[in-house]
Amino acid sequence: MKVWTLLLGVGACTFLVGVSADAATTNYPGSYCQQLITPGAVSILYDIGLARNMAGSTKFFGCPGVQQGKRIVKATVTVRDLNFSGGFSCYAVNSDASGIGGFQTPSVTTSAPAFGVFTLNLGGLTPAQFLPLGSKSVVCSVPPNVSIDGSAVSTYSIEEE
Amino acid sequence: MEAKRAIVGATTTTAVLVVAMFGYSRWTQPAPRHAARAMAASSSAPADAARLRAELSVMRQEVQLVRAQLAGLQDRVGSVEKTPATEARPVADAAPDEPAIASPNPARDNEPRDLNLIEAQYMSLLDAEPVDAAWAVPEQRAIRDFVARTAPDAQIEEVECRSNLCRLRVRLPSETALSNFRYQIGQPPLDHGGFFHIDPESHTLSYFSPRAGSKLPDVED
Repeated sequence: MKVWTLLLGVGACTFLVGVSADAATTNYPGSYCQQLITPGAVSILYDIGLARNMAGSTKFFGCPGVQQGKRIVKATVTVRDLNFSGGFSCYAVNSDASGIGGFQTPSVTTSAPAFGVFTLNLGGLTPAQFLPLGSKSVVCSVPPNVSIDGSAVSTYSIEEE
Repeated sequence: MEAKRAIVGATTTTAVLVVAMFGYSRWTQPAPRHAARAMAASSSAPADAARLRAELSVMRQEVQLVRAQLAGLQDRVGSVEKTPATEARPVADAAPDEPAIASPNPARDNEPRDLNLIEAQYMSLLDAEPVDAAWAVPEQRAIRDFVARTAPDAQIEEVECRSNLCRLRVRLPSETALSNFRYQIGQPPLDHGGFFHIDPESHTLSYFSPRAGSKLPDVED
């Protein structure tokens, strides 16, 4: 009986901790992304929900998240990689309000010969790497276009806690 | 008003003490930075160069910390001067329909972080690390190659790796060039996460990156 009471107590505590964590995940369409400053003409193409790179060279896309005032615990990005010789590389970043400082996660890449749709788990930042009042975003280097369709950012998500 | 006066007094006293200590430390170390560099360059003994390098590193670290502390004190004085008396109301006066803040430390959560102090803390961590030359030298070379490849017009002011951390300090010719370079950080060899800090006036960017397989250490400001 004592064992069951103990197990019930532990379970209840675990449930309450899980609820009080108050994590929120926001999902965004890839078409929220913007092409970041790079030399040459703008090459981003906004398809339905997607952001494609139509250039013959790698371009950088910045994909902003709505600031919910908490730290990034997990960010993911789903990409459509149509380039056999070059892959996506993405990271999540929390910048301060002025944009002059910030923390970024390690980059995650698709392997060069990969082809198709992939979801990259970018991880998160520690509590000490949280900059309040700032912005959160996902930054991706998008491989060059080698066919009619350019490689694209399909969706991305940012979980804050 | 009294609080403001006290903070101003404390700031002035601290600033005077800091300047006096800094002056004294410079006075008791007669080899200035330029002379030390020249000595290090001309000396054939590696031990002397290493010692001078360590001394310079400590001095640089102290100056960074002093600057950060002064900046923090100035910010606090400024915030006290700008705070209207009505903002200092007691908690009991808060409207009952105001949403409860779940954070255990809401004031800390909503305060802007001191980026100068965070950078100074990372500098301290870097300077305290022993040098693992087998990793640091090729890593520094890789970072220099990365900068040369992605921003050929950039001027590298410093690349330093020790055993777990690297610091890159680079000056770009324009804000556009700086932004362009900033987004490319995240590519190898700087793809392990990190902390960046930009000086918009000089278009200079500092970046701290951990070794592959390591995590960026946490620092508090």
